[in-house]
Amino acid sequence: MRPMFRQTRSCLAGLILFGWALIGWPQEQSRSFTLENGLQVVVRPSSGAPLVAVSLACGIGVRDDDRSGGGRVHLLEHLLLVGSSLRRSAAERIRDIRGHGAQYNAHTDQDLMTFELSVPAEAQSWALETMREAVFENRFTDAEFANEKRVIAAEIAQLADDPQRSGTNLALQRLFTGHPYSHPLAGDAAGISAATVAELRTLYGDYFSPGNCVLVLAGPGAAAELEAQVREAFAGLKSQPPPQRTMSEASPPGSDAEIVHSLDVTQSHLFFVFAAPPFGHGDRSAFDILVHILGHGLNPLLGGISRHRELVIHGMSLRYLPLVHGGALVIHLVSDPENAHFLKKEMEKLLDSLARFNYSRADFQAAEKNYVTDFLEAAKNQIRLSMEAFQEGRSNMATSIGRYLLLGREKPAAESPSFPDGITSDELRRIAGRYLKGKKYVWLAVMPLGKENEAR
Amino acid sequence: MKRAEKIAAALVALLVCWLHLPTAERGPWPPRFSSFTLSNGLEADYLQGKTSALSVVQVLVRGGSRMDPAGREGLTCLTLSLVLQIPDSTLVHRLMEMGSTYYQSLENDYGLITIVCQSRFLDETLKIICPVMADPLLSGLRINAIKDHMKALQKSENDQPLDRLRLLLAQAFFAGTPCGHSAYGNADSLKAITRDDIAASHRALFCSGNLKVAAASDLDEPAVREIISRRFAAFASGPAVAPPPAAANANPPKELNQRLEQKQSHIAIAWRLGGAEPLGANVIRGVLLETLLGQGAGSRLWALRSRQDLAYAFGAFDLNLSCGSLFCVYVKTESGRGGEGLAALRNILADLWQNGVDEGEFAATQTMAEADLLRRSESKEQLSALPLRLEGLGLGAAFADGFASRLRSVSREEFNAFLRSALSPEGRMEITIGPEAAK
Repeated sequence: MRPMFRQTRSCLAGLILFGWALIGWPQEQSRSFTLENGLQVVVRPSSGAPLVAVSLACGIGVRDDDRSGGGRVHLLEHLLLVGSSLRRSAAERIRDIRGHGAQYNAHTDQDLMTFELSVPAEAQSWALETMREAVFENRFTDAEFANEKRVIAAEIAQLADDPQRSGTNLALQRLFTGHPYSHPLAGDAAGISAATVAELRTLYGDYFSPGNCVLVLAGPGAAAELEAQVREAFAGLKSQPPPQRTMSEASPPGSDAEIVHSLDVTQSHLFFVFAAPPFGHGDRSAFDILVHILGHGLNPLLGGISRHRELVIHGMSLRYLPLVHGGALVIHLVSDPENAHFLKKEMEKLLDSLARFNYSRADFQAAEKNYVTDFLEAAKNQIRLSMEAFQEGRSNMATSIGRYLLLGREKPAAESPSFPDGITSDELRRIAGRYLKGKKYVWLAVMPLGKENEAR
Repeated sequence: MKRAEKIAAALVALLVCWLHLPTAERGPWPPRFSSFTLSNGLEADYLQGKTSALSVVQVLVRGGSRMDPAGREGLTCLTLSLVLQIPDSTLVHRLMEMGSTYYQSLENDYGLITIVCQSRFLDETLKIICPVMADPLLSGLRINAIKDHMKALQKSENDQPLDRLRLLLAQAFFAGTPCGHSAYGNADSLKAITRDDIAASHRALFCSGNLKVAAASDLDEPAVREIISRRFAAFASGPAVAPPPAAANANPPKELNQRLEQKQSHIAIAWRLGGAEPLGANVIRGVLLETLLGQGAGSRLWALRSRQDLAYAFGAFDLNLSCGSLFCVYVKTESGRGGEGLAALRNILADLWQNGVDEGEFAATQTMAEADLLRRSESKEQLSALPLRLEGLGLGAAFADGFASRLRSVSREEFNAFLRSALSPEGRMEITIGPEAAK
């Protein structure tokens, strides 16, 4: 089933796109409101498959764990997902979810925790009740707590075996050294082992209030009808002051870092990780365009490194993470181990050249215009295409809307939420100079066992 | 999420069957395809979708890696890759600027080329891609570059334990047949493939009778029909390929071990599904069994996580090949607990074999399977791929008629009888990939 030559897209694409997709909404159909208890809500009538997606974003992330490596926020996510509630046992909850044909999942990142529920449309009211029960009426047991600690230990071991995920996590931890964003998303074994039920119950009580959450409902029906269902399910929740937090901005790395890590693989996985514009920053839209030019579409600019046949890149993905207190660009390349060192040098040259690169056909003389690629136009059209595809999946859309609105409370977007048609080649060169040219970065190589020295 | 992707193939087949039901029976979703035939005999389907202003065109190439001659494994993959190599750099630039994209995937029985573009660029995108698909440039430079890339994909397949598991299963159950090799071939077979081999492969695969096109778009049907008819007229007439026969290995090994120095081991049990039953008969059963055993919270394998804290990752999948169906359950558990994991898998299968399922669990399984079909039909790309994949498996529309009704009408007694025959301990293979496997 695996496509042979497909670029990997960022799993956070929805978040990045949403600022622009917002404008494309049929606004007259969607409705946004806030309940008296502080829960912010968006209802989005949608056509297509008879499915409903409910997404709830909560303002708690690994940054809120006061111990590096604690993993308590991740552990809490597991318990909310599969633990008992005030009303019934975990087994009863899971049986009910399965009986309704629901797909139910949760994610924790540096800033937020999100819960997603997708179910056939006839179970719309049930889905809202179930989301309320999971997030606001949870009462996990000691036994569930102990079991999930062991499950997370297995999850951490699984992550360690995966070159892409372990490489990304290790590089991000190094990039954000000294900042709460450096906490590993899943936690570490010692931290998970040390976590207590009391700590988790305190976290739960502090952060899981309606005023600290955004709910999005996308499904068939008129907006007024969807709103009435949400009010019925959530208006009875008590309000509570949202948690107060003060957090400094993450600083760009003061020096380059080189990390070599080994796994039982045959290919090498190389990571180049840079500080990038945070969420809400005025440079975010232009940076996103630059990321598309570098690593997305048919012939991304980074693929040009393969012009030397011996340096062929076998796989590539770029992730831009615009977090509230800092951003990151993660470039992941897959290559033969013997090319690791040379690839690093070629990448440095290419990134340095970006501050003087001609991104647009408008940068060239008339005689040359027919023979060049307009990378800027290509990136804008890739984004337009992604925005259209984004309209087709309710769950992604609902989650992205919730994330965007919740992050926007802390960092109101400085950039226009409209599509950045106005971004120019000059702007991209300025952005490349500001974030990539000559900047300190984290370089991490996941190498096959016994071939670690080839990375140096 | 990943588990859901693994069962996509079976769900795809099920949803396609659903697509062919009368609208009144299945409700307003999914919308119906309309079919038409081009002047060169190429068959095409159109599906309208107004949720977005993008168009998806998919091309089914019948045959798949099963068509690779012995000693030339990887030939079909190479051919499929070359037909999307646009030789004119000006045209590549134009495709890039439109933001259009394309990729191909290859299965044992078929290949699928997917083209995605903004609808305003549909005609221009196909104008560039179709002539190259019909008449690719088979230069030595391009062929060697693709061969190099395929060697990298062989390594990648080896580095991903689940990809490795799927390949091991195909190799073990279909050893010595056209169904038992990697689509990417091996170093020797790639070296042996010549330009003439590729040209012959292209002539056989890329003719009107061997292709089928599906287009999903917000554009109206007449406009899309006109574009498809014009752009796909370039393909020569010719018949569909006849895949070589293949029979399952009568004596597959009972045990397979592959050493991998990781923190965890993949422990799996696999077996042939349905024995001598035709492929079509196995598809719906496979979907239900997959859902029952490995699909999400509350499935049978969920107990490995919730009660036995053996694993975070577990799953079940079936491999539906025209050579036969395979079924596999697996758990990824920490080094040192592999034996425990294997025993747990055996116990789950034994309990199901002996006791079957009760009404409540069976009803939930059916509900979950049907809901997953809906979730797999949200995007145009998913919708347009479904009939093509089913066609590629050789099941066709006739098989599809009434399939969804049969899913709903399967009784618990029938399903338990199926479990009684399908889960018999005989014919099972036990697989370990990880640090606990013998060297």
